Amino acid sequence: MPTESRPAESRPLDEDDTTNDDTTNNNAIENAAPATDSAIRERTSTIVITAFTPRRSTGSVAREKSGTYDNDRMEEKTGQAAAHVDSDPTVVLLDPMAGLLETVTGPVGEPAGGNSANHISLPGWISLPGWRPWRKAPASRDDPISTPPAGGHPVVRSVTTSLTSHGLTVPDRSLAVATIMAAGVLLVAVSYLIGRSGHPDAGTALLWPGLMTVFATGAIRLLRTGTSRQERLRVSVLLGVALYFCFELTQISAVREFDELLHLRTLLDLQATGHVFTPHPGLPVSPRFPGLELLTNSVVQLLGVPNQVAVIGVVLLARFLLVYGLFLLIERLSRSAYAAGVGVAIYSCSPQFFFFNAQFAYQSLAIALTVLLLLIVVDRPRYGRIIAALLIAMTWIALSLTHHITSWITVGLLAGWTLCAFVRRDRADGRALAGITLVGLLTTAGWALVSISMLSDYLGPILSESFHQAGNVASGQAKSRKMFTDSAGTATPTWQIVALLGSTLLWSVSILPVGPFKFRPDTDSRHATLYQLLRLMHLAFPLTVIGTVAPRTAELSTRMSTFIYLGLAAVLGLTITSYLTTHRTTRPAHLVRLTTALSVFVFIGGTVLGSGADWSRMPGPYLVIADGRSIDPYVVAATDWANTRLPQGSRVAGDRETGVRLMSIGRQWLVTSLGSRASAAPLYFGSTIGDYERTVITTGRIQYVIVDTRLADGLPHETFYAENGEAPVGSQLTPAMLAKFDTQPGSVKVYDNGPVKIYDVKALWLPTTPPTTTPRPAGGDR
Amino acid sequence: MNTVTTVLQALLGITILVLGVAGLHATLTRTAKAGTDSGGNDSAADASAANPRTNSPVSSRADSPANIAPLFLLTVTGLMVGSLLVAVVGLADNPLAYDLLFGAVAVALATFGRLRPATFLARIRDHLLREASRWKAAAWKTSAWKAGPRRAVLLTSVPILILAVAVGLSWWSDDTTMNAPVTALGATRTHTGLEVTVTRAEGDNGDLLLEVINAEGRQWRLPLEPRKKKVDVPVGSEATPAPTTVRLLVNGKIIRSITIQ
Repeated sequence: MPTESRPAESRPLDEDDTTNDDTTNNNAIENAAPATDSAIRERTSTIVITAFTPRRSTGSVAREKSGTYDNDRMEEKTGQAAAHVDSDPTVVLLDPMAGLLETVTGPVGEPAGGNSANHISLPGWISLPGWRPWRKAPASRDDPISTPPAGGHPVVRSVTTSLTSHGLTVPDRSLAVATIMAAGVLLVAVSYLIGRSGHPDAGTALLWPGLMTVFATGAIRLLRTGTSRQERLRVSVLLGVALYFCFELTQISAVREFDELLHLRTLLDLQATGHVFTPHPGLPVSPRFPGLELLTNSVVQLLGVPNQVAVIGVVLLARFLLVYGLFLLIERLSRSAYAAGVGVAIYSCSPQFFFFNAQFAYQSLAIALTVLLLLIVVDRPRYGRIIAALLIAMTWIALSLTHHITSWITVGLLAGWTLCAFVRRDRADGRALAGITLVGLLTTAGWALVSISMLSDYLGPILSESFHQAGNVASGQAKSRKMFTDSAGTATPTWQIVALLGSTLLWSVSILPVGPFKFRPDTDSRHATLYQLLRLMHLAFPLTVIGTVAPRTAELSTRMSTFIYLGLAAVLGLTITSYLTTHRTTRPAHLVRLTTALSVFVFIGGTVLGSGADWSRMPGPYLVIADGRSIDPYVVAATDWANTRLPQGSRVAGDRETGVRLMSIGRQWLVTSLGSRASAAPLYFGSTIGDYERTVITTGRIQYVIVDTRLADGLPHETFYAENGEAPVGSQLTPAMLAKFDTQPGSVKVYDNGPVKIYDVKALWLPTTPPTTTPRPAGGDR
Repeated sequence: MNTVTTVLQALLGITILVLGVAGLHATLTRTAKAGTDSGGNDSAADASAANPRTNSPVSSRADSPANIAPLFLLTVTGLMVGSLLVAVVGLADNPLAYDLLFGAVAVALATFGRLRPATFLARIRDHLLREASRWKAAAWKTSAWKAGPRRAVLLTSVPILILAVAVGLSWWSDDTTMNAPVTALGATRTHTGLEVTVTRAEGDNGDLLLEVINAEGRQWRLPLEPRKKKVDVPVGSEATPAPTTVRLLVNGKIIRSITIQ
């Protein structure tokens, strides 16, 4: 690449240049050198040079082979700086990013080498005999050649790296990337438009090019060796945000996904009652972890914006924080913006990134808080004791308020980190981490105690079912789950299966020390313990594959992938970038292109794995129990009517999709076994309304039944019609089953729009139980 | 809320948020300085053994904690915890409670961070003046516009416009698809009688007739205007609960029929 191998001298250096601001830059040296000590420090941002060693820089493979290296070219340019540094081995340099973005280096006063014993005096790098490849522990693209570990701790010298790499960075293309990504999003929007007009297959054919445009544009820039740090950060954020929009555009005017509607109910309860902890019929545990809804409500109340706008804004903020935090976290560990950018690209390939973690659900915010907490803990020395304690405490509180599972997993991560620190005999760090973990444990456990019964009701069956199903599959008592088809029999296209299996295989192979994955670069010694933990998380990747054998374990393993991919992204980000910059090839650009193509492939695989069949990604005509695809104008009209005409808090029976919309938008009480300890699902499966059905109605004190006659068109795409365990697997509703409400005396139809009908069934209550007024959640008007 | 109130609320909210974030930024910076000045900076203390020079307040100022991550983190968690406090006292539905709480917090942060309005405004004014001069210097007619802010803004606006088109297109198409009217009939009993709701789909252009038959066999026939998509039909003297049938007829043919008890 000509741009990469151009001489460093050819690049104009000026103080305001923000193009090449990866870690540090040449002009920093130039600025620092002639100034007085105090003048320098007034403008600095604590980049500390601890050692200079020769390194191989981007695009200089041919020169390295001939025994020279790019630093040679820097001597003349930085001669003045060298003289200055010579007299003062700890030089503070100007970071042009200061004030705009965070500095790359670690805490104040923590030299990059970790301790003074690792410092190498400046003349050493000038007079070092020549470049010698140190392939064992290349810390990053910026510094692929580390010195031998001193005292067991590898040394990373980020500053050195940039001295050479800065002269080689390519022009900032953030705007071009943003434009192409926006065009990709537009393509996706057009594909959804086609889907909504009744041609979902044609829409899907356009959707993938749109998604690939967005991802590939980001991946190309992030994998390119010469991209500047600032551009990497921008592109990482753009990638996360653009992919969020690609998902959100399916339902931009109103949320329709099942999980989102559950959380919307919590938000509406909060706004209607003014209180937290309002009983929730569909997800009783949600009001006990109202962090997401509290944040959204504060935006609504402060800015006076509609709920939908606030919902989009908050999830967008969560996505930004996740990507931004992940970039900085990996950068802190690796001392390389290159590794950080690639790490973000890898995380974008995780199954839940495109779909589940872009939803208005508590995990979307919680995972961002987890990443930021890890970042703050890594960075805690830079903030000082008070601010660090405040940041950590506030984050723990927010995390505990937001999501149960994520907060516990984060406590587990911190505990593992602590353990790693003690194993490495880093007692000071271990004690500090133990304190932070203890605070987290107390906060999380304390908050969980408030809702212990609800949590056990909610999570208990999931966990026991998972173990039960996994045990049955392992012992041969049950067959493993049918792969690559949904419960309605919709098959995944072959090319998507290939991508899914290919990406899974690739990530599985990545834990083995083969090929490019032989590289296991050590990282900054100060963060070695966290890196060790992330490696363990990376090694846990096969669990996400094994978990797919049974339906419940598959659900759990997919959820776990959100966290496991944090380790995968950090470890492989560093591994891949180290490989790309140290691998000896005559065509390095081809290697990067190949990696980019492979990344697009694994992105498709991960996205398919996380979001399921094509119908889940594409708006279109009605499908039986298929999340947003089951919400169409008929369902909207029926639920809107019920929400405005039926008494608020009426107890209703409904299928998974119409029921949850009725429950959410209209704050009606959907009768479910989780929220009412009485399931209304069996009501649908009888051909007549007999004693059993009347008992179900009476037990659940059901006042209205909503029936979508199209349920008889096929099997549900989402496992069940109304509730898990409603009928033997494969049971299909028939038109007769749904028509029984028309002919049964006592069941009166109060609403009819053709496919969707609402019946008043209060007259069917058994006489032994006197009709009572529906217990409503406390609160105001609709 | 009417439009004026909504706009005022939005302006007030934005002011509170901006003041709060600016105050938080100033407070973080000040706390960091104070911590370092008093030797309370953890990192500085730890690092002093390795390198005494890093314990200087100058280094700390340069490595200010007032950067984006903690700023965002404290803003998000602060809003969340503040909102929890408001909800605990049962005022989560009241914008005024939020304005008061977060307004007070923003003022406190600005005060503690010594964020002086005069300095703040002067800085904004200077910034605006500087920008204005840059824009003037890079006027369209001059050759300098290519390197000036005009070109930068033009280029930046391209992806924003494309994204805006994508969002707008999706919003319009999603909204019109989801809320397309359907021919529906619903009825509820009120204190004064029946309230019948009729909606009609775009394609239903025939003559619509609403037929109501009460328990005694009394019948009402109400023609519905063809262009009206939604009609509420209060049928009087039907307040007493008794089965009443309501039918919707198009060109004399029953297309929907419901019964209200």
